[in-house]
Amino acid sequence: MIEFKHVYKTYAADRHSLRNVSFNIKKGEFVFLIGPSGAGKTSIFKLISAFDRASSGEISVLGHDLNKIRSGQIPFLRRKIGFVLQSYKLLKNKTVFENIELPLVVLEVSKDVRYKKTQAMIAQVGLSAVQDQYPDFLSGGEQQRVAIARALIHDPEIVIADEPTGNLDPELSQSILSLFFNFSKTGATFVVATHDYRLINKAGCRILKVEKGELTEDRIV
Amino acid sequence: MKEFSLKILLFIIVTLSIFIVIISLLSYKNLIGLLGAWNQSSKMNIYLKIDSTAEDQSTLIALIKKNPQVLSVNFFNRKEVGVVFQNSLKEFSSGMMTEDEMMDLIPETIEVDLLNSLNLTERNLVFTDLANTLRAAPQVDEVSFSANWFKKFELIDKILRSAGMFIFLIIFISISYLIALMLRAHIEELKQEIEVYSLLGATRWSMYHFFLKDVFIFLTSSLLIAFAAVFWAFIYLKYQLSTSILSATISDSLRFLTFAESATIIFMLFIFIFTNSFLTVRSALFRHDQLSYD
Repeated sequence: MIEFKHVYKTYAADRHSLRNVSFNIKKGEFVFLIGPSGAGKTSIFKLISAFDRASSGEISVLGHDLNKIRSGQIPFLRRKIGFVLQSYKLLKNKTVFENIELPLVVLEVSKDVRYKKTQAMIAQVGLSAVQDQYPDFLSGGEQQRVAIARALIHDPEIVIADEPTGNLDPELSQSILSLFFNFSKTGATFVVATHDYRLINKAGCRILKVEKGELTEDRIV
Repeated sequence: MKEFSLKILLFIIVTLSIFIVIISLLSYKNLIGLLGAWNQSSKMNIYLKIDSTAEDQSTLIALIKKNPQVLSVNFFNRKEVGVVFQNSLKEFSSGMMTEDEMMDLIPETIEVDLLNSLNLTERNLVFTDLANTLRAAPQVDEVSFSANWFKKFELIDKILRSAGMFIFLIIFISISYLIALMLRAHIEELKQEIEVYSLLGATRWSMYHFFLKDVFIFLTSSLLIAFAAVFWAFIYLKYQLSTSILSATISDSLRFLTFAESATIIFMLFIFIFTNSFLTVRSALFRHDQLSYD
């Protein structure tokens, strides 16, 4: 499903973001990508989602060879990925409901289906009371949940979460991870980047550790 | 709410700007029309010989009408003119001259008027050509038109028409550019939306659709409202002018834009602004698509 083979990412002659990174993530796996800030976690995510290209090596995501993928195919790859970013990337001029239904709008899902799916997702993440509010009026935790709901609503095959609990207290962090674990039962692959090692307490999870652009650990908890 | 207010404000400014462009075109057109009306006082008079027959007159009129620049040809019968003249003198007419004496004084006359769209130089050229042709005709006694008068006002006429066109073009270009810049700023404000749509897998064409749909609706509504407002203002002005004896002639001369003129201005505004918006979206997509992950 996601395969990296000897991947290098170099921004300048002396600035390597990734060095010889190789791993293979199978369908339905729940993977924690850990490492300190600047280790290269975000670079891996950028490469997986085709926001960047590797300097060398091979990357395959959902059957697409990302070295050869045409720019016109990239949107269709991204439609199969759910993104939860540290900065949330919520649209301030849209309500919670409108933000969450956006992926379905992009997929041109009919209005009725969009409404039903969005309502169900809003209830699942516990945002029914604020569904007509604008993001600026929500707390950090609520905004994070909106971002998560938006990432999951279109049943993606891969979910990429970059520090999804970075701004949350431990209790809320656990509840969000529980949400991810529940969703992963549907068969989606999760890659969660975090530097909060306390979160990694779920048996069966795989851990990939990145340090200074190199993969230094690959184990199952 | 803030964004909604800004959109409304932008809509009002764009509509007013288009209003100004249409008004300036309308003013230019009517300025030309009024100059044409002013030129109408300079017509060509063809005085026929006393023995000219009705057939001669018809032949001459047919010959004049062949010229595509001719707007109208009027024949003045000496008897009818004489009666009008006598009536204007009222009780003094009988003591001044006899009817026969009067008829001898008044020749049969053909009056020729040209299209209003012609400027003074063009009118002078057409009249000169016509005069040369008509003077050769045996039934024509004399041809007269205000050649000297034309020459005097030729330069003023040229300056006024050129200035009108120049001012209209300046207004059109600067306002179109201003509208395009405002819409460009509006699209730039949508940077975050472009990033998010890109992240969610929207194709380039669907993003063009998302962002240009707004511009299309915006521009179409502004054009319709601006046109309706200009039309209302035109009718109001025409009505107001018609109520006064002094300005009634001006009111009669005022004309609204024809369908072709309206279509041309709409097409020009639309193409200019829409192309600019398209290029803005294109460059915004190119810039933000590559870096939107962060």
